[in-house]
Amino acid sequence: MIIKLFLSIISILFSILMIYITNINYKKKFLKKLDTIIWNTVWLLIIFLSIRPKFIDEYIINNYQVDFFYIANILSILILIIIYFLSLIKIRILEKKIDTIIRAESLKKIIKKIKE
Amino acid sequence: MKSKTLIVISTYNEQNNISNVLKEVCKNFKNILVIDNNSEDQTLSKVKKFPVLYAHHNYNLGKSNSMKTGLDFARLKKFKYVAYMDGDGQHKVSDLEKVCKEIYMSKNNLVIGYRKNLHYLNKEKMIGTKILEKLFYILYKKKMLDIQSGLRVFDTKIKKKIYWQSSGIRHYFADAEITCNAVKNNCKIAQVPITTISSKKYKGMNLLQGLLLVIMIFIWRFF
Repeated sequence: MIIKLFLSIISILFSILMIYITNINYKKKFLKKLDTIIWNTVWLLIIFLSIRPKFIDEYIINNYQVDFFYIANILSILILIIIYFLSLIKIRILEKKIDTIIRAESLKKIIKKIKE
Repeated sequence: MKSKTLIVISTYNEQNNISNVLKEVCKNFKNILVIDNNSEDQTLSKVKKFPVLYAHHNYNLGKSNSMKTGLDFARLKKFKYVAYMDGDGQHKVSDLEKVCKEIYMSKNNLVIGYRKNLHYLNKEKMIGTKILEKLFYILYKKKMLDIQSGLRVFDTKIKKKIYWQSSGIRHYFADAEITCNAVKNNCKIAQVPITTISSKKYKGMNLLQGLLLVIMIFIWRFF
């Protein structure tokens, strides 16, 4: 029971942190609206499942026995999603930087041509 | 007024059409900026033969980012208006003039050319445009006949109101996003009928991209 509670608290705290990171990255315009909505939904869903883990049992898996592998599965999925999310943010940041550099470079060239 | 307008034409592998487009545009306009998205064919060398400014993206950034480069340049050089047209020859220069004339004569911030003869297009594109028109009316309470039209001109002052985030290489959402942002932010918009020149080489969106655009129109409306 204590382990379950501990895991729930950890995943809730993680999700809140992730919501914060998502919104910061949206404000910095590294993430688009669609990304922000999808990711916030994912984190909220994780919070919901952490508060009410039996939701899955009631509606999806009947008579499911909670054991070590169950918890390990949930945790590994959570970690995978976090890693995927963080790498997506890095890709978006790089994408934005590359776009800006290429556009600025092309603008510089036109202005140079005009001056010549 | 024409001297205060920058014509932006974005191209990608348009060696067969760009010469004809520029020949016509150069007769009527002075300030023309062609933005080439790292074409793999002879597009850029053909552009260089005309008295136009040209920018070259070292990588293909898509139409949306080309439009951003055009807008940045227009703001930098203090042009009052920026007009966009496609480099594939699907727009007539007479229509570009018509659209520009409308913005000079009126107090509108944005003028969009809507394709009046949609039946010349292929069936999927025609149905898709009609569906988008209806959906747009339901969500934004404004009748826009062709939210995706690539022929448009706007006042550079409204940059902040209409600035777009779409940046995909394989889709053309920027035009639709500009329309949505303009309506949402109460910009003054006019629509002018233009002629569609159907091209054999279909470069529009596929069904999946169309569905994604529908989702995006919802998102742009409410967030």
